[in-house]
Amino acid sequence: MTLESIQHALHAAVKNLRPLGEVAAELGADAARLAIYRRMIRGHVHAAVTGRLEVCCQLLGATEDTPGWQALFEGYLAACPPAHWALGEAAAGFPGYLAARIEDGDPTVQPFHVAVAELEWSLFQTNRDETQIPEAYALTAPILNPTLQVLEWPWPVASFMTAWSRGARPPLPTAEVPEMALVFRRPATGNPCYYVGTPTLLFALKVTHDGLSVAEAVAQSGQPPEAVASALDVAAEIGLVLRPG
Amino acid sequence: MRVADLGHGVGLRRPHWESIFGEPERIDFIEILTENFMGDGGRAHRILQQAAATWPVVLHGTALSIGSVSPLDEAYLAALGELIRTTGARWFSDHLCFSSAFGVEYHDLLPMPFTREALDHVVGRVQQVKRIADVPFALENPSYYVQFGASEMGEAEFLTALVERADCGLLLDVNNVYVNSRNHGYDPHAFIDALPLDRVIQIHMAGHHDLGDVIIDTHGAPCVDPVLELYAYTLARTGPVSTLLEWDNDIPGLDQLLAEHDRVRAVARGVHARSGDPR
Repeated sequence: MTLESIQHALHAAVKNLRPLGEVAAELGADAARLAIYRRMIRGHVHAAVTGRLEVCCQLLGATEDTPGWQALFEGYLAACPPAHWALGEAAAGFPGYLAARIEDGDPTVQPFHVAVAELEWSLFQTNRDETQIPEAYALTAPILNPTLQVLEWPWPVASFMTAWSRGARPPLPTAEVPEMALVFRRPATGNPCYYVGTPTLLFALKVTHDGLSVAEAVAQSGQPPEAVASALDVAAEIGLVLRPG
Repeated sequence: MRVADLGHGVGLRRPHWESIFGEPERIDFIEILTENFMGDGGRAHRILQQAAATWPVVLHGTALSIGSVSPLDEAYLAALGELIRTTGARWFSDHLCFSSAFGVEYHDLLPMPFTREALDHVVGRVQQVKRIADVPFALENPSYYVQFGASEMGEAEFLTALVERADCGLLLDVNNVYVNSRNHGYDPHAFIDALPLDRVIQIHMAGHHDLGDVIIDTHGAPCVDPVLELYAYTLARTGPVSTLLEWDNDIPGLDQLLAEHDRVRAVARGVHARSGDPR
């Protein structure tokens, strides 16, 4: 056998495209040992998806390894084989895969699952974002955190995730309640985080984005100076806004 | 092939990012798992900079896919070269295997047949990889669970011809030698004796999981005594070589990791003392 034919056969075995016994006989190899590779390779992708999109996968039954989850995951393996050397990227296609399952009429997947997956994936991407956050001494005026992503869904995804992270297990929303999420890396730790786009934070975001002084913001918004200053303080404290220092 | 003996190191793993910088004296060098830090921004980038400023760094990858029949990933090579430069890595390494082919990444180390065709193929690709940096490149003997009827030579013969013809280093994973010897029924000491030990620029030590009928190379447990004995056997023949303790699954706290690290170091000290080396 040539090197290419051997690798084709191994590829078919580990990707579950051909029976292990058939490939093992062709390679002169042990089928039980070939199965080790199939299990490990599946396990790597499973760990990547359930690790990066933890809440979404738990909502879909991954923790209990339900038959529904198994079928869903096997479908993902077949539809979206990993194509990037970074293992975390093996989860990249999962939100889109879930959306496609909804289009195909899969009753086990809901649009809210897709939204949760999208928020979790944006956290992972924000962590990998190579954008450098400037030090305070390098700034001459307040700026928005350069890693900021503003996301919006017709459901309260960030509120749901916040409750989940605190140990609550809220039911999936049944009614549409639009909500924005602010995702960025914390300047102090470099860790990604998300916040519900509250009126206070969105106001601070707009003031900073537009380069307004407190006086200008007071004049344009009609809010008291203390409220404007407080909103900017909160935004600076969490790292949404970066101030000179 | 001669490189500096960096002493005894550990891998830089996320659970230890907070604590490891409190132990700069107990660790001689750090091994960076290449793919964990390629292209990463944020905290990983900061930790990497801090590690490179604290210890000598070597890079170890799993995604080069040196044995694949598919072309080497140019973007991966570029990112690898950049990481070598930014960390000041003393050398870089990957495994004799293929980890991707036909557009799919396996995120695992699939075995190579020990054929003349495979040997020619890998030698050529090592030349391509060596061009990305001015520091030595080494290939590791991986653990493998299947053998192929097509193989035309033994693993030791293949490795010897490979590193000699490609003029690269050998990263000798002593645990893998033990695991393979048990899984495929050969004498690990004879295997060590058959290797070009002057090409060994680094040694890996690790734990494994013994299922009875097969041993899985998990890097998730302490080194067993036969592996420590094989390490001593190897060091007595190589002389001092940079040695890295791998622990990638069920990663313990730093105290347990460094206790195991010290256990490996004690074995080396015993060998060197017997040979008259004072280190």
